[in-house]
Amino acid sequence: MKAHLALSLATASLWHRRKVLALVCLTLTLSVTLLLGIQYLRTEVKQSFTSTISDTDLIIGARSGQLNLLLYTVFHIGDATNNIRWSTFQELKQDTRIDWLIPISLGDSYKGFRVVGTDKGFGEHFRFGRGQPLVLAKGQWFSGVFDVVLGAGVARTLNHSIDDEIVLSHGGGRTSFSNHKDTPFTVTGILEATGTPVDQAVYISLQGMEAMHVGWESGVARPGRTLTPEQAEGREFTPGAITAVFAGLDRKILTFRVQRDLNQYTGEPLSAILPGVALSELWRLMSQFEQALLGITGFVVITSLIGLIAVLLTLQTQRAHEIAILRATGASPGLIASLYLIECLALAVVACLISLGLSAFAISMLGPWVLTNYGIQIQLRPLNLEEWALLTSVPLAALLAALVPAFSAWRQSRSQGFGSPGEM
Amino acid sequence: MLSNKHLVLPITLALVSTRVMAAENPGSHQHGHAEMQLAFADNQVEIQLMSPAGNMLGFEHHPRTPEQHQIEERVTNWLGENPLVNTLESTCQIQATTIQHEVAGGHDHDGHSHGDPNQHADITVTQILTCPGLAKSASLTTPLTVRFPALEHLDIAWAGPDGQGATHMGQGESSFRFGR
Repeated sequence: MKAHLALSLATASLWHRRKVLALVCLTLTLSVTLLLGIQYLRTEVKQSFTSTISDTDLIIGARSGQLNLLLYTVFHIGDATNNIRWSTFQELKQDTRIDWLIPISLGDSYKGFRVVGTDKGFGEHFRFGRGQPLVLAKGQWFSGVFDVVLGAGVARTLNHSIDDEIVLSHGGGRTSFSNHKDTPFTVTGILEATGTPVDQAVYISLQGMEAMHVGWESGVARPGRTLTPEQAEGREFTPGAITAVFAGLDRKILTFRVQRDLNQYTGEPLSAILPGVALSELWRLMSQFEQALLGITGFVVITSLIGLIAVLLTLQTQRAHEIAILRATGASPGLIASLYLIECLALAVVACLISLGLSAFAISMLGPWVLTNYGIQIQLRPLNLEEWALLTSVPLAALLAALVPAFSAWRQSRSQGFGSPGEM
Repeated sequence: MLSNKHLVLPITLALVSTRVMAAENPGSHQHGHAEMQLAFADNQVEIQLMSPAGNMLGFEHHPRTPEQHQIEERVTNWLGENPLVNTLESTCQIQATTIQHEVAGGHDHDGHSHGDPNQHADITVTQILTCPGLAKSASLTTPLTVRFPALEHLDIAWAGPDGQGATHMGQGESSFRFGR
């Protein structure tokens, strides 16, 4: 009966002061949205980051550290220390434990974007996210020697469309004075956005990579030695070396065994890395930044709760009449204190609910835009345990914060001297 | 087909030199640090643990005193009887264990040199486990960091049908989350 009375009184009181409390609720909602949003983003970005490449069991390259190999093959950051021989690639193909291989040849660029020489296996076997395949938004994969497929980011930034002719540059860098002018490539396909570094590269065949380098053995084009597209068509080009290989195994349980065998390969020094393991290591390097971000948001919520206490204490003076009437009608100091607790809890719960709805709406509306423009994949999904814990901590913290005005109200009510001396 | 009997090779019988291939550098050897690799398939786990022998035995040479022989025997028995990882419900059963004691890369540090009788040595333990209910587990436990207090850092990497990942455990930590 007492609880029912407290609830009905609290509801009536809240409704009476709805304008001021709506503002308090708005502040709290924004803080909770920020807290929840950052935690959600953190989980999504981590998921997106650690799923930059999936279903690829091993990345094989020349001997180097795992992060270096990962960075230059997957993220297109940095350069390979050495290449691996084409004969090694052929030998890897004979390994019955390996299901598929994707050769990767790097070294050239197009207006600052990496050129990746590969084969059709890239389109067939490369996976990202939760095993999603690459999908062409327009056109088709390369079939001719001088066909090129553009990542979504490249096509958008440089405003390219199908059948555009592009000239690739020799070596890396945004501005290059060594261009493969004699062998222009034709855009045959544009990939859908993936939110991974795939979007920021252009893809050509290994044959195309070899053909445009005929006559470039000394690092610059030797006049008369380079090929024209007509001369190149119909000719067979076999690379002497490639930069790295992505490998998929038949049985995942063999991953570490194949890795150990490749790391002890006698033909040439190789490094085989597990991309998922290397990505986890790389993410761990950034964990301090991640924690700092979460800490800052926590402070925002604390500041907001302190603001809530301040507002409630300020309103307390305005509520002197209300409290006096309640006391005169027989409300105990305990009941009056509980009104403050209920109010605070109600405000926090409403703020959390609005914040949930607001976040879900923002993610579903902005997710595709963020993917297209910033290459970050954010999907609407149920909250995980950590996020629920964070969200429920807000009403609990609000309840704790409400103890300050509640205690103050309780003390004032007692001093008003209504009721029996022994009442709480 | 794997035998259900434990295949435990006494450490001293398997004292071999680390293979140094033409294109290979000596392996690293860092006291207090170990690596564990877990490969999953359904309810089966293949484990390889690589650790400096000192982390587990407290010494890296052949056992000389009766106490050292006892320590070696105790550790060998423990490794043969205890799964290196387990589900939270402790459902894992050992199918096979091999223990190999190898002379470390032959490098020189902390005053040790080539040919030194106190040369560094590594222990490599492989275990094959069957763990009913593994597919539903989001966390695994390991008794290693508690059983061997000298093991201060344990790097764990895993690979399976649901993906790959890595984590890091410190002294006294006994469980880790893994997203396979």
